[in-house]
Amino acid sequence: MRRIVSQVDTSSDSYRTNREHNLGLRKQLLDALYVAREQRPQRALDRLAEQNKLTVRARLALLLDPGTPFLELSPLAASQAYDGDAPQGLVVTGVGIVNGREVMVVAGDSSLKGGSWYPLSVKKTVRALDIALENRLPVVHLIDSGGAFLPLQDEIYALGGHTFHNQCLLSGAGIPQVAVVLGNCTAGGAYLPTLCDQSIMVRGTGHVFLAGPPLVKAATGEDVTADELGGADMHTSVSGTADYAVDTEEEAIALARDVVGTWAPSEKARVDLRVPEEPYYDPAELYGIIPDDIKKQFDMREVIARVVDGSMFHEFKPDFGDTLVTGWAYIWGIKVGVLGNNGVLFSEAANKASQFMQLCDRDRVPLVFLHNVTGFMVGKEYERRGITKDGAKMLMVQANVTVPKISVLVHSSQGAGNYAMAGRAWGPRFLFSWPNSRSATMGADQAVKTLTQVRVASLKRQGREPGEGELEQIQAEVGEYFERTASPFYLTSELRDDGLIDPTDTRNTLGMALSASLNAPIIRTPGGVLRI
Amino acid sequence: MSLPGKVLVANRGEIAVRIMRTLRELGIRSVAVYHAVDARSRHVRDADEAVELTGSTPVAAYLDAEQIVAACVATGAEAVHPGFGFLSERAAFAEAVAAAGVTFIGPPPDAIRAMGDKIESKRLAVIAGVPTLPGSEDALSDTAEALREAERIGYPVLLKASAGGGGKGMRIARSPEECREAFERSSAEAVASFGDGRVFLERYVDRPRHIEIQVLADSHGTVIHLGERECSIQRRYQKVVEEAPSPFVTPELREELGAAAVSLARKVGYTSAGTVEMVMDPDGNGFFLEMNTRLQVEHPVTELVTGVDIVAEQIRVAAGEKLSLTQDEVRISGSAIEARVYAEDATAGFVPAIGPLRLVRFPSGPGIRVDHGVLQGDEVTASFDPMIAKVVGFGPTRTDAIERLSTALRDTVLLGTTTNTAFLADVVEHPDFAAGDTHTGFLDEHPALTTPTVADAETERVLIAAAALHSPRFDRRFDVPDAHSRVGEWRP
Amino acid sequence: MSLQISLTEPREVRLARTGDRATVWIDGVAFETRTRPDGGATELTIDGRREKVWVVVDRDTVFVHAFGRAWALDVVNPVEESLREGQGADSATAPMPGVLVSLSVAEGDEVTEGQTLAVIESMKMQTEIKAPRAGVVERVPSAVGESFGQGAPLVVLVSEEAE
Repeated sequence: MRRIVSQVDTSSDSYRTNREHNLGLRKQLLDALYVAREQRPQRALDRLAEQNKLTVRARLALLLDPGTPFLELSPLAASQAYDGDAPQGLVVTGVGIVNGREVMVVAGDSSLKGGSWYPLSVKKTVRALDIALENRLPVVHLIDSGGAFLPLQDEIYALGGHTFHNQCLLSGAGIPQVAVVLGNCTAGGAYLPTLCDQSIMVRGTGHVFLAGPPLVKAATGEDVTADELGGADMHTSVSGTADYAVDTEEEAIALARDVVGTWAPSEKARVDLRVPEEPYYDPAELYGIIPDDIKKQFDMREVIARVVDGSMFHEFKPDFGDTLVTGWAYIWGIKVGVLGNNGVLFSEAANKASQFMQLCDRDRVPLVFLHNVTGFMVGKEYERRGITKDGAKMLMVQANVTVPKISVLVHSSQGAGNYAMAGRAWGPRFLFSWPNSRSATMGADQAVKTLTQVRVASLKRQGREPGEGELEQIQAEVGEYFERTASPFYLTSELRDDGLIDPTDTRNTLGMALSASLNAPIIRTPGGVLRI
Repeated sequence: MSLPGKVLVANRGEIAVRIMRTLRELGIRSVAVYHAVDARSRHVRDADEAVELTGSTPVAAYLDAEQIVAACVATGAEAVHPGFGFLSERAAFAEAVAAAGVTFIGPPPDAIRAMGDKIESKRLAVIAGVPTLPGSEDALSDTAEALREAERIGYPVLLKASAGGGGKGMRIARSPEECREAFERSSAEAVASFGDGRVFLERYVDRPRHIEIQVLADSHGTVIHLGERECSIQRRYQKVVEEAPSPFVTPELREELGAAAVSLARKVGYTSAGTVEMVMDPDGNGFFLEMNTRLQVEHPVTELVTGVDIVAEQIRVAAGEKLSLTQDEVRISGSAIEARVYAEDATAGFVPAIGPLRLVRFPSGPGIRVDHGVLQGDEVTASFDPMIAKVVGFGPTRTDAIERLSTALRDTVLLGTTTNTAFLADVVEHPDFAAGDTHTGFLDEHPALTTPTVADAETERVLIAAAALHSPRFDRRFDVPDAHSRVGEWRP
Repeated sequence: MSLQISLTEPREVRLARTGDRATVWIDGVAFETRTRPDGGATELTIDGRREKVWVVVDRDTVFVHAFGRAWALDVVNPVEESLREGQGADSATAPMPGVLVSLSVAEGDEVTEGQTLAVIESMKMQTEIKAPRAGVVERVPSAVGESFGQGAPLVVLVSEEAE
């Protein structure tokens, strides 16, 4: 491996302009994270305190090993939905370290709306459990939710079932789960702790029942208190629905840590590891490297140099299909195969990618996709040379590799290029976006042109010419729609990724994600490597 | 006469181990005796053979003369070394041993008996010309007599039980009121502790030094002395730091005191090793206290400054041989200081501590001698004296000896129970000790030595970190994976 | 998890360790440490300062020999401690239905935690009923020979608020 030689001129005007632009986006990201995590009305915090409840962040601090990282997933979920009523989807998910063990944490946030589940809350929870299942991560549930947000029940009902279904599948796959009941678990929610291997309830605040006291009163006329109906002592000493009753949240979380300590240790997949090393180049330079315009190009090697160990990279087929950079590097000591776009995908680049992915698959090397792709090259010449066929091969190989795939939307990720680079639909173990990125079927400018043409053609068929200002209005409408829906802030709010990350956090994010992914064994299907 | 082929050591702990070392050097086989609680102890392991003793208490076993004599007969031991404590100063034991045809390594029973009685020994000292403290000739009959005698001698006075020792039954009185109370309390205590209520009274010396002369005598009429030891650093009337020579004693004084001690030994027909203990006032006047008819705990300091193996001399003398050196051949060179390591809490009135010795590391190096009888894993119990070891520093000058001893004590690792090693190091590092300004009230005069040490913030931090890193409560199985620990607390 | 470790006063201690490296938080302040075995001792580096320490653990006490003397530190898990405090109900109850065989306390008696209060017989087995905490006996609802159901109070202690 050799150190990448950076060509970046940090004194150039473009570097300075880019930096200013990207630091602005960084601030936008940090502000959004603050709103999602911290910004709560005082009365909401007072109410938690009255209930003797800790904030979800305080609970996480108690749960996680000190001095260890926490890879939080989709913290901006629902940030652009429900008029901001459900910041962070009112649930925190992420991969963290508990008693030395990598676990998936799913922790309810009851500071607003009683921690009700909104459709995107459920999507976020289901995604976390999908990740747990795929990567064989044990799960710690810190449950504090008022249940489904009923005004949106139609969007929740079927999806919500996936939560419990996933829990059963986790158990079936031999992946342990522990629940800490820190609030009410009513109706369907009652299954959440009950489907865990072990559950801990806090006296007074933790309740588990199919129907709460008011509903019981309405249904059968029975007068019963919440504690009688589903309190910690009843469930741990009478029904056996839960396993441990404790007095405080601190004790409950400490006990959950002990429970994690009883689990069998993880057997991580055997991959090539070495002692980690910081990148030679300063990751903060990424702010000056990433262009201030989605249409501007840059060399993906400059990004690789600021993410991988020692900025060391072994580039595969450097002189072939040069719109895609492929090669080996280490991230936090884990060997990875990197595929990074340096322009539109041509047949050569697609074929190189297919060959490279097969090599990595054979050698148990996880794949990291760094997106900056507008799609496959179009035009008569390229169709004749089989661009669609070569793209299909790339998709076929990529979809069927057995090593973990992790994607980062570094800049543009559009069209079939997104698919070829293991976009959301292609099942990467994790997918993260940078705040400057854009992702849609096509670029906004193209979309405006294409859709305007379609509309004009339609008008012409009706025998009309677009009137004064009509063309501009159509262009503005289409442009606004594409700008909004291709924005990473919108996409992350809709759970189309696993989180929006600051570019300088890419290395840690990938390291955590890669490490988590190795909890699942890599079982390769036999077959030779084709020199495609 | 020749040396015995096999010797039974009627003792335990460090002194038994120390005696066996000399036996090995002399090519003599050793027999240990032990109570079941000591079955796995170091003195049993060091011996060539071992005989178990039984008793209602562990101490009773070691005091059972009959069993020990039987053990000699059974193992064919030709001689018995009693060490110190236990049976070492019991004339009846010496006689019983002799009656069984076994040699007692120690003085004749008569000498033991004569010196064992405080009043009788004082009388003999006077005859031998050893200065004694002015005091009552006989036991005090009642409080009135005590007050009369005190008046005659002059206050302050010390009241002592005749059969006492080690500070038991001793009281200082500075006024008639105190004298009345002291007499009553001492009498009562003497009856309770020794079954002998006789109490007598003598002049009390303020800021006294404890000086003692080591004597050696053979059965051929040779009596020599090996100079003095100073044992002024005492707690609860028991010595904790002893040294030879005394920084206070001049060669002339040494000659004078030595001659007096030799004269007393001759007077009682002494053989073997013995020690004449004196109290010395700040003007250098020594007064006879008592004579110990046995090996002393602190004998190593004399051995180090004279090069004489006192135990070997005892064995030779018992075998009827002559002492290996004459008075003219005795040379005092260098300085040796011994510290007694006890399981006790120096910061809480020296209350004995019990508990396991989970980690034991004794220091070694030039000028360091450690006599100990413990093994890692031993339990310090209330059954026996809580002395664990004697650490001795030896060097050309007293300063060298102090430095070596303090370093040795700081490097003595005894974990699992409370010990006094740090206290001892603090004592010998004290400027007044270095200046030789020692007297039996040293510890009372320097209360800081017995106050708990307060750790500064940096020290506390190291200790807390060490405790955290070793506590099984922080389970090693739950260590953070390497890569995650390198990433650190990254929670963007 | 945090532990309370006291030399003289309790300090809140957290630990994250990997191999020979660890971060130790003492009352919230982080210290980087490294340990290396040195014979039976440990060479501990904390914030760049190196010390040789000898350490032995005896249950909740950690003995450390460092700086030329021995120290003893107490290690307490505060959660465990509070769980312990949480115990100690006001009555000793019957673990199963049975007959009271004997009583060893009466009203007004002082009892210590764990003291045997009564013996019951059930399913041909005799079981000792022990005091859940120290306290004073308020009343003994059943007499010897009487039967009772599961969970019945056998010996009731004066409640702690009342004392």
